Amino acid sequence: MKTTASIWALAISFNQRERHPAGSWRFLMGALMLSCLGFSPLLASETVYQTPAAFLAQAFSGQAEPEMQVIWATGETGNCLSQILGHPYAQLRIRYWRSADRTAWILDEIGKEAAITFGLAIENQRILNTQLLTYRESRGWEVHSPSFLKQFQGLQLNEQLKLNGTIDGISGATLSVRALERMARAGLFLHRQVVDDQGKPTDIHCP
Amino acid sequence: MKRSLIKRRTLIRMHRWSGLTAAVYLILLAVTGILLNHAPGLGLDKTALSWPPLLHWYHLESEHTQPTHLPAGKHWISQYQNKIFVDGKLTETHGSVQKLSSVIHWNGMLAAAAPQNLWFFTPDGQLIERIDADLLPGKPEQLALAPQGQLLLKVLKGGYFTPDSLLSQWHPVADAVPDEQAALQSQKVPAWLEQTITMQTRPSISLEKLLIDLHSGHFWGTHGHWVADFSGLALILLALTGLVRFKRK
Repeated sequence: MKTTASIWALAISFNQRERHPAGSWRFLMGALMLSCLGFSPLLASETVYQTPAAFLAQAFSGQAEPEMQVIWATGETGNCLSQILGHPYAQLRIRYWRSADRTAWILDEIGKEAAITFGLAIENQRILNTQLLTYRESRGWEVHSPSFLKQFQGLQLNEQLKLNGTIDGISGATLSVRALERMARAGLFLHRQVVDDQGKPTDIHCP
Repeated sequence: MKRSLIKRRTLIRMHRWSGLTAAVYLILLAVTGILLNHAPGLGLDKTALSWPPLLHWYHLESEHTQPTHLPAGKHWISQYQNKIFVDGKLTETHGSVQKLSSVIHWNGMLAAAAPQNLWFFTPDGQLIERIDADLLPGKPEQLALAPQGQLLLKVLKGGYFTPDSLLSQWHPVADAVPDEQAALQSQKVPAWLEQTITMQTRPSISLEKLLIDLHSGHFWGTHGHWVADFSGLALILLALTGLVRFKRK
């Protein structure tokens, strides 16, 4: 507000003193220069909403201590993940945590330019809980809100490896929303590979 | 009569200047908007700009530092800001990378330590896994090999730890003695590596990003919205002065 007021004060003073047409150009350039002073471009930053350890403690609250295991994103598993994500998963090895038939996954996916770290807790082939752990984009951070993330609860994967429900988008955060959807599908798929309805690993398949 | 004449001239000048001010910003909005509408087809995201004043404005010039090269057995791990290269090949890092403090060749993998992460790569540069410090016994400080070949991780304000086969459990190692031979490696960076990394790390900014920042006002930094506000006020003044003149006629 001070900047705007001072620019208008400058404009009024020009009006009273300058009657030459060039005065209007000087005023315009001066206003633009004043606007530029001391500004620096907005740079993206990393925001940690929850640490992995805190997410795991929350995901297995009331459960026995989870056991860490790994699954390799190679072979048929890698092919199906590529189909879900539209590209090979960034890491060859994906760690997950399991207690009984509940698993927790911490996945990374690019939104527009930077990686988003997303935590998922899955049981009975349904998403129990999700949490945005780290957000690195310069815009679209609204996806961390609990009201948005609540939409993922209860979702399952259909035979086409798509979610059986819709996620309402957020204006200005379309790419971030899609990245979270892809990670939700990937998490459900990976859970299916390690835990079936009888608690045993299933045969790997993708459409 | 004279007083009314002065008021009329003032009104005309305000109308002219506010129109001029708003026009500049509106033309900028229109041009950047049209270009961004066709960004994929025009390949704007793949057009890199290296104009020094522009790099200076984005502080890319001041942030440009020399890449560092760390030997890991017969391989080299290089770092430039948030990028890690294995033998000159850019790897996937998925997030910010703090300064690498240590690298090692272990069990067919290349391991790299930074204060917030441990990284494991295949010798051809594929990312095997990134382990956050939150899942480690402490912030990584140094990687080493024990004389028997086990991986040793020294953490900040702590001792040495060695992992299980899954790299999930880290067990403290009392009286750890890192293998000195493994630590003594060739320090001369090959010329081809320096050239390869230099080619890939020249600072630049994509034309798409520049247009987005100009269009949104972010180009002017955290106070960029005042530029838009100022132009909006100029438009309001333009409309009001125009209405007053119209009414007087």
